[in-house]
Order: sequence, then C-alpha cells, then structure tokens
Amino acid sequence: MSPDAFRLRTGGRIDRTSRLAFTFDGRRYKGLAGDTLASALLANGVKLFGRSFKHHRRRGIMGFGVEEPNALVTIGNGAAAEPNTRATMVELAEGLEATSQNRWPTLSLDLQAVNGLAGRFLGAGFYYKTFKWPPAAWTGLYEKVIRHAAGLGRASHAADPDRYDKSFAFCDVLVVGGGPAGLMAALVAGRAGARVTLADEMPALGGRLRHEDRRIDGRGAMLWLGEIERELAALANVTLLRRTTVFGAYDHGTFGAVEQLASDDGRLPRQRFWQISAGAAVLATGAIERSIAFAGNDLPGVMLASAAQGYLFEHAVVAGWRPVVFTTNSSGYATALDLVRAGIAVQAVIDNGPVVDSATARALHEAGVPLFRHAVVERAVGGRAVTGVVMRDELGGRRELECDQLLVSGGWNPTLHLAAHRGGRPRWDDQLATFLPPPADGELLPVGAAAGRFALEDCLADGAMAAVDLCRRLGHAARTPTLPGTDEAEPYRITPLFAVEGAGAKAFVDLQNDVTAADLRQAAAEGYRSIEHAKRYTTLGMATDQGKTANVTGLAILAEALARPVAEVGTTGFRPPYTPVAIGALAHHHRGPHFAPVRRTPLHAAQVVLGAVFFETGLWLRARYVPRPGEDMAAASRREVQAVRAGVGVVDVSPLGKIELAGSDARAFLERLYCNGMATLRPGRARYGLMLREDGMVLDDGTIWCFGSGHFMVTTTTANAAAVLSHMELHHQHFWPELDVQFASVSEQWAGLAVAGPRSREVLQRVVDEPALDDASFPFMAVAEGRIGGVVCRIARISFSGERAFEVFVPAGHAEALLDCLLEAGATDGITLYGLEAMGTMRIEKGHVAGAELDGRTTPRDLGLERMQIRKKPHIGAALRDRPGLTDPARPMLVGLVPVDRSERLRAGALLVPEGAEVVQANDLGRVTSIAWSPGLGHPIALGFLAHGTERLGQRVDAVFPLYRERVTVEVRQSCFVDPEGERLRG
Amino acid sequence: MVELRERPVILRPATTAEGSRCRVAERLGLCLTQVIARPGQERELARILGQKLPERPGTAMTIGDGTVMALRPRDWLLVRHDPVGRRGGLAVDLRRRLDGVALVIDQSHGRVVLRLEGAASRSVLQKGIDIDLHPDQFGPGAAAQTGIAGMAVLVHAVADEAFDLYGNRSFAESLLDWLLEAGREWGIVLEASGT
Repeated sequence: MSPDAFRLRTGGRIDRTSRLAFTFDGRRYKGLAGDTLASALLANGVKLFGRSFKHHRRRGIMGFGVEEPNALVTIGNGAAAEPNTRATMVELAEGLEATSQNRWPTLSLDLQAVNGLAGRFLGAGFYYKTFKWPPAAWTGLYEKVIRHAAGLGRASHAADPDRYDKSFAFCDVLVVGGGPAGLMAALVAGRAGARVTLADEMPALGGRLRHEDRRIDGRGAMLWLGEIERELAALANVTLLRRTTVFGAYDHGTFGAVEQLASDDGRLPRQRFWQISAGAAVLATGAIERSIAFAGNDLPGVMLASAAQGYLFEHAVVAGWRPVVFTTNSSGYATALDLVRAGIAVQAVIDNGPVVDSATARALHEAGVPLFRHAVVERAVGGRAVTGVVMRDELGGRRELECDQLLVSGGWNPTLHLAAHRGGRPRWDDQLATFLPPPADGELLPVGAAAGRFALEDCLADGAMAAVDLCRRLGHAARTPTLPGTDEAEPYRITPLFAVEGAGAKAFVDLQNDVTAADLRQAAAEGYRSIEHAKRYTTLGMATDQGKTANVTGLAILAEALARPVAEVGTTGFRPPYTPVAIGALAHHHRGPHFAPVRRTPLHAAQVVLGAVFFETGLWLRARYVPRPGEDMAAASRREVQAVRAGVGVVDVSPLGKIELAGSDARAFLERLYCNGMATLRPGRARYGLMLREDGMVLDDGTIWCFGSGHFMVTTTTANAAAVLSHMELHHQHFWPELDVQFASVSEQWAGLAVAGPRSREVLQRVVDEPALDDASFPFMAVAEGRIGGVVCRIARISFSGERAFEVFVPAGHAEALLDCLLEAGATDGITLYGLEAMGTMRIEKGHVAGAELDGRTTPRDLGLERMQIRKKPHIGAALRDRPGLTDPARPMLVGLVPVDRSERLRAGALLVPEGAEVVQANDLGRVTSIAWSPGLGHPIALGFLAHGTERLGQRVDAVFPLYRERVTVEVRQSCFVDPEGERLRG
Repeated sequence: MVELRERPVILRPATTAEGSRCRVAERLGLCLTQVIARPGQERELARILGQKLPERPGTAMTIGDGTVMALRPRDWLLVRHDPVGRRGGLAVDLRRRLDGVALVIDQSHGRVVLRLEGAASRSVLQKGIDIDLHPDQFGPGAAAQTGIAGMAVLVHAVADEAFDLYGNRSFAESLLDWLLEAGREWGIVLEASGT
C-alpha cells in the first residue's frame, strides 16, 4: 500500500518534502517529518496495532495522545528496547524500529486468540478464582500459563544505555498544559513579571486548538497561537517545557515532571526528571474524550472522534474514507463537519439524544450526511476491522450501515488527575455527566476544560483570570487583559450514555486490561459495592493507561448495576504518575558507579599505588588487604596480622569520626553523654568512652582525647560519625542550651594512621619531632599535640589490635607524605601496610566490640562492659538501663567461640542452640556476630552473644545456620583470645 | 627531620570541549578556619577579628581578599587566601588570640573548594541543589549549606556566573564526577587547579 494511501493531498502540519523510513514488526514503511508512529502507520493503511492483554483480540488505534489504550509497542531493540510505548506519543524519526506486543507468533496470526473463545473463564476476578485450588498448580502451571498469555511488552534484561537527568526548578506559577487556557495563563502571569514555567506533554503548544477549525480575534487560531508563542518565548521570566509531562502533584507546591529530549544530540540525556517547586499552579490539562461500551467497540477502525480530528488537522491523515460517527454530545457533530469539509464521505451521524437544531447539524444536513437521533450503535461489525455498524432506533428497529471507520464520542472527561493527587475527591456533575476536579486545593487552580468549561471562550477567560488571581496573591501586579474574541460555536450538550443495552458480544470498557461492561455487572452481582474493591476485582483502570478513556464509563456502569447514583459510588483514588515514568528517569544519574556518592580517604590514591584491594563499607571505599603477588585475601591478611604481632604495621584509620569540643562546660557535657566517668580525665590523657541511647542500649564507642581542661577531641566509630554528631547537637541545642560548649566535626580535617606492633614506637619516633614517645613520658593512653616535619599532629597511644600502638592524625593534605615517611622509616623493621580484614581479625582476637556487636540491641552488660558505667552520675541512658528486660541474667552476653573440630568454619549470623538441639525458638541461646581465622591460634574464632555466657565457659553449644543446613559444635571461651592480661599492650 | 609535603585534593588532567559554557577548577591555597563563639562573646569576637561578621546563616561577607560565611548561630567560616605551606597558620594564630572567646578549628584540609564558572553554571548546580538559585533569590554574596546528590555542600555565589562549592574532602572525587556529568550538555571542562 502507498505510504500516503490514507493521507490527504493538502493540509496537516507535516513536512511533505521530508520522508522518513521506519519499520513496524520488521516491515518497512515511510512517513513524513511531523508524523507520530501512529499517524504514519495509519497513513500507510495499517489498522492492526496490537493484541489485547487477556483475550488477544485485534486492536487498532483508539486515541491521539496519552489516552491511547491499545497501540502499545516496543521501540528499538536490544538493550535500548523500550516496551509499552504508546504509538501515539512517539515522534517519527528516520530508522525508527517498532514492534508489536503480546502476540505469538505474529501479530496477524495469534494462536492465543483462542483465549477469546474461552473468555467466559477469564471474567472478573478470574485470577483470584484460579488461585483457589489446588495450591501445587499455582506456580507450576497457572502462573506460567497466565504469564505467557497475558502481558505487555517485555523489558530488556540488558542495562539501559540511555542517560537520564534530573533538575530542580522553581517558579511562581506553574502552568500545566499549553492549550488555550494554559497559554492565556502563562501570558498574563508572564506579562505581570511572575516567574512562569509552562509544561506541555506534546511537541507543540496549542492543545485542542490544533485539532479544531477555530478562529480567534478574527483569524485562524494557529496564527493567534504563533503570536502568543513568540511573545512567551521572548519573556525572560517564562520557561517553556515542551514534551514535558507533569505526572504528579505533591505537598507544598511540589510537582514531578518528565521531559523528553532530542535523541540525536549525544550530549543531551534522553529524559529529564524535573522536581518543580511552584508558588501556585494553573491546571490547564484539558479533557479526554471517552468511548461507549457496545458490542465490538474494540474492533480496529473504532476510534475516538477527537482522535480523528487530531490526525486530520495535525497529519492530514484519515483512518477511513467512509466513517460513521456515533455521539452522545455536540462535539461529535463538529468532528463530522470537519471531516466533511476535508472531503470525507461521512456515512451517518448517530446520536442517542433528541433533535437539536444547531448550525452544525444544519451544515451536515446540507452536506447530505444522514443524521439519526434517538439511535445508538448496538454493534460494530467486521472481521479484521470495522466494515459496518448495526444501528438501533428508539423503537428497537435495527438497521445495518456500511462504513470503514466508526468514530465514537461518549462525552468529555476533564483531565483532573493532578488536582486529585493530594487526596481531594472529584465531584460528579449531572449536567456534564462527568467528574469535575475537587474544590480548589490550595494554590492549585483547574481552569478551562480541566474544570469542565469546554468552550474556547471559557478556556481563554479562565486561564487569564486564574493568572491574575494567582499573581495578585503572589504580589505581582497583574492586569486583566482584554480577552481575545472567538467565533461562534455550539455549546456543549450531552445525553449521557455509557453502555448500550442488550449488547451480546463483548462490550469493552477498559480496552487495555480487557474489562467489559459484563465484568463490571458481574462484580456488582458478586457483591462488590465499593468502587475501590470492584476496581481491583475487575482490574478496571489498572493498566498502564490508568483507565483514561475507561474509568468514568466503568463507574457509571457499576453505579447502574448497583442501582446507586454515580456521585455516590464516586471515583477511585488518583495517584501519581499521570502517565508511566521510566524508572531510569527517577533514578537519573544514580546508577552504576554513581549509584551513591563514594567517600575516599586522603590515603586512597597512595594505597591504590601500593596495591591495596578496596571494598565498600557504608559510603567509604577502604583498603581491605594489601596482597603481594600470588596472595589471596586470606593469605594477605594472615601475613598482615603476623607482621603487626611480630613487628610493626600501619593502617589507614582516617574515616574515624572526630569531633572537637571546647568550652567551660565541655567536660560536663561529655560526662552526660558517656556512661563512664570523664571527671578524672587529665590533659594529656585519653580514655575509652561508651555512649548510650536514651533507652539504655549502646549507641557508640570511641576515645576521648583531653588536650586541656576545656579542650577535647572525641573519636567515634566510622559508621556512627554523623549519628553521634547529631546526638550531640540535639542534646546541646535542645536539652542543655545553657552549657558553655562549642563543638564541630573535624573528621575530614584530620587523616589518621594507626601504627601498631612491638616495633611501633621506634618506627614512629623516627618521624615524630615531638613529643617523645618513650614509655615514661608517653605511656598507654597518653595523648599530645605534636609536630612532624613542622606540621601539627595529634598522637595518642591507643590500641585496637592489642599490641603497643599509636594513632597519629595529621591534616589530611599531609597524610600521603606521612605514610611515605613511615614506610621508609620502618623499612628495616619490615613495616607492613595492612587493611581492614587484618584489623578486624586482630580486634576479634582481642574481643573488642565493633559494629556487629554494637548493633543497637546490646547493653553495656551484654558487652561485658558493665563495670565501666558509673552508677551514681546522671548520664543519657541511666534512667532506662535498669529495666527488667535489660538486667535479665538470661540475656545473651559476649563470649568467645571456637569450633571443637578446628577445621570447621564458622559463619557470622549463626544461631546458638544447645548441643544437638532442634532449631526452635525455645532452644534459642544467642547468636554469632563476628568470625575470623586467627593466625596466632591457627584456627577459627568467633565472638557471639550467649545466654548465661559466663556460666557456660568451657561448655559446648551448636552454632547452626539453617539456610545452609550447617551445624558446628563450638566451645565457649572468654571473649579475649590473645593476651588477656594486656601485657603486650602496655609493654 | 622528615618533610611532609602537601598535595591538592584533585589530581586529574584538565579537559577541553568545544563551545564550553561551563568550567570547574579546584581552588588551592585557601585557609579555612571555623570559629564558634562562646555564648555572649560575639561582639568580642568581632572586635578581636577587627571586622563585622554576617549574622544571618546563609549570608557571606567579603573582607579584603577573604570571605566570612555564617554557618549557624555563633558559627562562622573564615576563608582567606594563604600561600601553600602556611595553611592552618591562621588557625594557630587565631586560637591564641581568641582564647576564651571562641573555639577555633582549622578546616583547610577537610574541604575541597571547587570554583564553577560560566554561563551554564547556575543550570548545572540547579540539577543537584534543591534551593532556588535564581539571581533574584541567590545572587552574588549568597551562601547556603545544602547538598548535592547526597553530599553536603556549602555553596557561595561569588559572582553572577561563578560559584564556590565547599565539599567534604572525602567526597571530592564524587562531587567532581557529579559536576562533570551534570555539565555534560553544556560541554563542561575541568581546568587545572589554581589559586
């Protein structure tokens, strides 16, 4: 068929000189620049676009824009394939590849169309009924069959090659929709100097103006549109966002929108997600035409009347040369007349309403178009596509009319979604037989067709007045403009009709989810009273189009079946998004390596050079081990541990949280924060500190360095650095503002290295100018501000490894140089850079608690640190720490564990039960928290929490891991495996 | 005696792009000093410093070749240009002069300072910053502690089309990655670090 078989010789806003080649299901077609995929295929005479979701019925194009329920296609292939795309919203591009969906093996021969014959088993609630019995068949049989048969397009499993982007936007007035109402609003607000953002989902502004033959101020509406667009573009305070769908309205004037961007500019992302904060919003979202439920209303060739106008004016495409129009309202006449004027042989206009004398009707009559009043289309007839209709008049007389297209107008539904996103319920209007937006919701004003005011002059006036009103509220001096004059048009009138009585075959309501009028009546008969329940039972409006053409019709049919007024039945809740949003757009650049920001220590680059292997701990990238050639993690970290225990090692501890405090009440502040005593901490000394939450559980541990009576630095665990700072800020600002204490995080300023091992002092002293590090002047738990090569440093003799050790901090920019110096100074002592794996092993050998033990569920007593608490002093956690549940002697407490068979491995997270006992709640004794292979002992060790732990020392319990069906018998030990007396530490 | 050289945070080669409308560079040689006054000592602090301090958090004042930004009540960040090698010197000096008046903390090494300049700089930042950067709302002299893609950032509008971003040093690479990605459509380039 010729590429222009269904295109008029003149008219349309396409570029007839620019031919674009594209494929649909592998077949080559040609379209024109300015076409959508839908209009190009229609121009080529294509009628069949897809198969329906459940019954695999043949489906054609129904709509023109976002409301399209049928023509879902997959665009592109491979990784870039984008399934479930509405053909009506795809701008044609050279080389475009489109594929139909939900058919097997091909679109024209779909073997699963037999589902249509078995349709009575696929009625309302079939899914729920199917899964009643027998359970074994659920996943084995039913699910597979249903998933294969029912469905939409398939997502590619490959990574999406497209880029997405996000931006925040701020404006005084957000105008949603660039039709006549939106344009007037933007113009008035823009002229008043307000910051205006106008978003429209189509490539070109104008909305319905583009699809009707109207005159404004005495000239064609398109001329007027051009002028307005030029003025808006020239206003610096107006931002025009075309191809941008505002998909959600949220609290505090926040809106979500997605913009489609040009695909041929490599620098641009494919879509941009806009988070818009608006002082006020004008909802000029227009209205969407609805269909009518009658038999065969889903045949290819049945189309919304407004869509036919769209294709005619925008693309000069007609989907049929001999259409019949079936309408309940005045707009169907306008469609018929537009088609007649374009030379189309309209076969008949069928109207269920009474005779109305109007200019349009007279014009149609003069053009020889038969008008049938008080009549309905009972059935659309045809095999592959519509070939005729069966009309029934008011006396029940039937008559068949031939046609190649059936245009339907069931009336107009305001696009009120955004107005209802924040919970407001739409109101039923008897006159218009549709729902209107809820009463104005804050600074969000529906105008024009979105407010049920369909006439062009009302749209123009509404937009202007809303802008004046909002601008004045926002403090901009807006002037009421002289409204443009419009040509005469017939006022909107409708004789409501949702479903044609007595339809035998399937009369569809929701075409995308294959919900029929009979399904809704069945739901009512089965006792579904609430619209929310009936919706879920029948799946009405639950497809990707969210029932844009179906919901109001469905509600009306249900209301009738329940013998209740539609107003009482109401609508289901409206939730964002208005149209489907790609997950990629919401994720924008947060994917792959940019999923979350990464924190690197000041020693990152240096450790990369030294061959360290890194891993993620929270946001931090940290050196896990530093292998020599041929070493795996186990071998490397074992060597690293041995190097520290026998000589000296150095590890990057920069991510530790560091908070500096000063003030005359700094010490008092610390006394209240930590459960152990700080009153006797002298300048030049450090102390271990344990911080509790209000409920008596441990929040964090760290060290407190005292530099002067009113000058401290505390360290926190890496994981809790931010939480501890917030904890301090809350207590200072809110509970104890009277305390004279100033503090701030210095975590990023100071890079840290721990130098550990029997040879640590000698090596460190070689680089440290001051202080002297000998035992007498710098004993265990001493701290000092010193100097290294003229640079200020902070040093403490503190140990996590259990060896003689120091923590030394320097300003971050000097950290690399310090590491170099240490490695050079310690070369003769075999100084070894070690990673977190070795550090973790050594702390487990020492029984030091860390994140796995400080998990927010443990008390000082659980950790064996009860003696640290000063019972007399008030501190956070003191009030609640003695609750019976926390002092229960049966509470699991920290112990060491060793497998009886030394060759067996242990697993963190394993449960502890009596030896040989069943894994049931009653046998629960505790859990394993940390595991390591101890190079010093030559076998696995673990830390865990065990009920009556101290009484069980030397006894056996089982560590079980049901997921892997593992059971290891372990011996209970003290939690400190190495040097329990601390001789190495202090020596 | 050992010598501890200092290295800049960003070690990446400069890039070029045609028709670039935006550029970013690390600012070197800045001395950042956080000063937190003891309650009631604000006037005394200003007297000793010999300069007025901005009062409202989110505002900056230019003083000589430096800037003072109000972070929180009684909390300021002093930014001065200082030759490399003497960084932190100001803090040592101030700590002595402000003893009993304020807590003085050197943050020179804890932050990376990125200068973003060019016609598109505002649009680039608006992709990540959830505050209104329109010149009427956030003109030269404005400063705000905010965030970009989960990273804490202090943004200071230094001119119509120039911003200084103070980020935590550990996030420097991620922040730069973010800027280069966000600025791609305007041909953003990374320039050599400078003072």
